[in-house]
Amino acid sequence: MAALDQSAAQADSRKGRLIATPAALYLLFFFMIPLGVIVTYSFATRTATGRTVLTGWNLSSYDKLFSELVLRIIWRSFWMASVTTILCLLVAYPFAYYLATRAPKVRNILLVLVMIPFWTNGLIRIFAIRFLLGSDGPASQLSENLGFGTFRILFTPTAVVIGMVYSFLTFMVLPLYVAIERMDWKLVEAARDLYAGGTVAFRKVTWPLTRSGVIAGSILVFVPSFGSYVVPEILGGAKTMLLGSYVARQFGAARNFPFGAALSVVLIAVMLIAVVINQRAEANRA
Amino acid sequence: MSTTMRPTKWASRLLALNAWLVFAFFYIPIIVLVVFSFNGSRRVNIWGGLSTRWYPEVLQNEVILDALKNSLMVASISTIVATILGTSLALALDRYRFRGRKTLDGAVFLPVIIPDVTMAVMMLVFFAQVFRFIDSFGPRFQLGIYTIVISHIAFNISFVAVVVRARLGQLDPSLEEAARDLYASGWRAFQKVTLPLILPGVLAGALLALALSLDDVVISAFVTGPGSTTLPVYVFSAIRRGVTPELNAISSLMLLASTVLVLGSLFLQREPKSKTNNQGE
Amino acid sequence: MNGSANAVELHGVVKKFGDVTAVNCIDLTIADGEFFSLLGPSGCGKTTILRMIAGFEFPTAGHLAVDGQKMRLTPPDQRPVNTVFQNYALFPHMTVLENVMFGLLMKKVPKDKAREAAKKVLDQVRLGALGERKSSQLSGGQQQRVALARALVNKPKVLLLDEPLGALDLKLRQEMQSELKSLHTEVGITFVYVTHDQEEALTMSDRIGVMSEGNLLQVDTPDRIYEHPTKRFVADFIGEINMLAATVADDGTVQLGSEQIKLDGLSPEVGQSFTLAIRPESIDLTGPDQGVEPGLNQISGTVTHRTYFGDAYSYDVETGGGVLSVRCDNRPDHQRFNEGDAVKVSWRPDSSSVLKD
Repeated sequence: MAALDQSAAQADSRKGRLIATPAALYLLFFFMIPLGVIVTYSFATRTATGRTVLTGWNLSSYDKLFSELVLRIIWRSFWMASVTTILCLLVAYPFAYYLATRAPKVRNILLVLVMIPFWTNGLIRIFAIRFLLGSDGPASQLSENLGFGTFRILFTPTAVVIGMVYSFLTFMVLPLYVAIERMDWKLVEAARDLYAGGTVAFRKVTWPLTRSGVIAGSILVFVPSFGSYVVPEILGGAKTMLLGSYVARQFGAARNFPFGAALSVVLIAVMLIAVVINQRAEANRA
Repeated sequence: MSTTMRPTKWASRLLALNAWLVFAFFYIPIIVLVVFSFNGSRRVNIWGGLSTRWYPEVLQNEVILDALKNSLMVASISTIVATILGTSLALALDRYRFRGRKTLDGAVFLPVIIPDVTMAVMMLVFFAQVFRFIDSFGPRFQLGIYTIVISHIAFNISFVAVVVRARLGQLDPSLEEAARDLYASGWRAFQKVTLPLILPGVLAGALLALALSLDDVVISAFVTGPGSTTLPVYVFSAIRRGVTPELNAISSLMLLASTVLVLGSLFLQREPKSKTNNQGE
Repeated sequence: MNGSANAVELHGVVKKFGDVTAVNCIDLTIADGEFFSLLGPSGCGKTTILRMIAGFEFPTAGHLAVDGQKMRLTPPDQRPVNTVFQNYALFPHMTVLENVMFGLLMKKVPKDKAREAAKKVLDQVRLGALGERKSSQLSGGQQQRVALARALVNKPKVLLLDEPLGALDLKLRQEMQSELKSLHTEVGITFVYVTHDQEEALTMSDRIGVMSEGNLLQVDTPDRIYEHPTKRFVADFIGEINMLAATVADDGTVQLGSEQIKLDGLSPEVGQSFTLAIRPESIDLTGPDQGVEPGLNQISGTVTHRTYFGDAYSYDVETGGGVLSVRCDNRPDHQRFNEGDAVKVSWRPDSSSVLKD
C-alpha cells in the first residue's frame, strides 16, 4: 500500500496537470508545432515556381547561409545589435542608478514616466523617429535654420541604431533598476570603509552584484535588435538590409520559404543561446 | 536602499544630466509628432498654424475605421482567451508539482523572447501546412482575422502567465491553507481567497495582453488575409508610402489610447494604500 | 460521535520529506478537552505533527485519528479541526467580521446566524467594536485574537495553535497566555499548542510532549516534566539542571563520584552507571557545622563562584560528586555564602531524576 503522502502528492500532481493542460496544449499546437514546422521547412526544397516541396530533404538552404551576401547580412545584424546593446547599457546603467537613488515618492513618479514610452505603441514611436529625422522633417528644419544644413540621417545605419535604441532602451533600464535597487548598499559602504576609492568600489562590489541585471537587460535588448524587422524597414531603407527584413523578404517577394526557414533557424538559435545564458546567470546569482 | 551612497557632487550632476537627457530622448520625438498633428498645412516643413482638421478626416476614414474594428476584435478576443489560459497556467506552475513542470516553465518563456519576425513566419508556414492538409478533405481555408487571433493568443498566454506568476509569488501561501482549514474546498478557497487577491495581477496581465495585441505589426502583417487588416498593419504600410499629417493624427490618437492603458495597468498594480494604523488595544 | 473518544491519536506516525525524516515514529494520545503542548526547538517536527493533524500534510507511515475517526486522505476542509496560524493568516481583503464568519459560511450556516455567532465570539476575545476594520488596521495582538475568534467560532473538536504568541512582546505574550488558558477553560475544546518557549508550555498546559529531532521524548504533566525528566534532552531543554555521573555498586549502593547517596526505587535495568539530574533550586546549602534534616542526601563541598540575580543567588559548588549549580532564594532568613566557603549540600532523594540516556 502506497504511503499516504505519496498518494496525496500524486493526486496533487494530477490536479496540477489538469489545470495546466489547456494552456499547455494550446502552446503545444500553436507555438511548438509551428516552431517545428519552420525548422522542418529549412530542410525542404524550393521549386522553380517558388513552391515548397517537402520531399527530398537537403541542406541547400543552409549552404546558402554561408554565401558571402548572407554572411554579410548576418554580421551586419549582429554588429548593429551589439552596438545597440552597448549603447543602451552605457546610457541605461547611470540612468537606472539615478532612479534607484531617488527618494521613494520621486522614484515612483519617474518610474511611471519611464513605463509610459515602454507601453505605447512601438510602431508609433518608430514613426516618431522617422518623422523627426526626415530630410524635410523638424530636426532637419532646425539644423538648416541653425546653419548646419539638412539632416541626412534617415536611411542610414545610424538611423536604424537610433531607432533600435529608442525601441529597446526601456528593456535595459528595468532589469538594471531592479538589480541596483536590490543591492545591499552596506556592502559598498563596507568597501569604502576599507579605503576603496569610488571607481574601485564600483568595479569590485557594485558591478559584480548587478551583473545579473546587466545580463538580463542585454539579452532583452540584443535578441529583438538582432531580429528587428520594423525598425530597419522604416528607418533603414534598401541600403541597410538586416536579418529581420531579409527573412521577411523570403516569405514575400522572393518566395523562398526553405531559405527563409533556415534564416529563421539562425534567429531561433540565437534566442535559445540567450535563454541558456540568462538561466546560467540566474543560477549563479548567490 | 540608503541614500548615504550618493556619489560626489560632480558625479551627481552628471548622473542627473544623463537622466534628464534620457527622458528628453524618450519624450521629444513623441511630443514633436503630436504637435505636428495639429499642423494646419499638409507640408511638414511649413507650419500652417494650429488646426485640428486632420482628426475628423482620420476619424471618418472608412478604411481606418475598418482596420480599427479589426484590431479591437482581435485584441479583445485574444486578451480574454489568453488571460484565462495564462492565469490557469501560472496557477498550475506555481502551486503544483508535476512531471514536466520544469520543461513547461522553460517553454512558457519562449514566446516572450522570440523575435516577432520569427514568430510571424513560423505561424505563416504553420497555417500554410494546416490549410494544405485540410484542403485535401474538401473545405478551403484562408488566412483571416481568426489566424491573427490564434497567433496573438499564443504569445499572450506567456505574457499573462509571467505577470500573474509574479503576483502569485507575492501571495502568502498560508492564506489558502487557512481557507481550507475553515472548511472551504480547494475550489471555494480559490474562488473566495486566492482569486480576489491575485485579481490585480490578472487584470494587469490582461491589460498587457491587450496592449501587445493592439501593438502588433509583424505577426499580424504575415498572417492576415484579405479584409482583415489591423490598424498597426495599415499604419505600417502607410508609413512606408510616405509621411502625411493624417498619419500624425492617427499616431497621436493611438498614443493617447496606449497611455490610458498604461496608466490603468499601473493603477491596478499599485500596492493597496495602508490605512492609518490604529495601535490602540 | 463517540463521546469517550480521544481528541487526537497518532500511531506509529512517520513523516519524511524526501530523505529527511521530520517525524520519527510517534505514538501519541491527546485526551478530549486537554490543553496539550508540543514543546521543542525549531526543526524538531512539532509543527509537522500539527500540520498532519490539520490535514496540510499526510503521514509517510502510520495513521492518525481525530475524534475517534481515522483521517487517511481526508482534506483539511473535512476535518473537525481549526488552526491558529503563526502569522495569523487573516484574509486581507475581508473585514474582521467577515474573517470570523468565513468558516461558518463555508459550512452553509445562514448569513444572519453566522454574523450573530461571529459577533459573540469577537466579544469573547474583547474585540467586539472592531468588526468592520480590515486586518491591516489592527495591531499584532488584535490580529492574533481575530485569528483565535475565527477558529473558535466553528466549535471544532480540536484547536491547533502554531506558536501563536511568537510575534508579540513579552508583556503582551504573558497577558495572552493567561487569556488563552481561561479561554480554554471556558470553551472546553481540546487545544494542541506548539511552542519552543518552555515557560509557555509549563504555565498553560495540562500535559506537555517534548520533542527533539523528530522524536517524542517525554509526555507528562508540567510538574513531572520539570521535576522528573526522563531523558537528557528534556532535562537540559527545560530550565537549568545539574547532571551528575552516578554509578551503582553490586550491593545496590549509589555513588556520585566519591560520595555515596540514597536513591530509592532505582530500577535494576538502569545498569552500572547512569546520569542523575537535580534542579538547582531543589538543593539546599548549609554551613558545615549546621544540622541537616535526617533522610536527606548530604555531601560536602566548596563554593567556587557566586552570582547575584536580585531575587536569588546562584552558587557553583565543587563537591566529591561533581560541580553543582545551586540556586537559593534571596530571603532574609537564608544564609549567604562567599566564594571559598565550605558548605554542606543537601537534597531530598525524591527530588532527583534518573536519566535513561
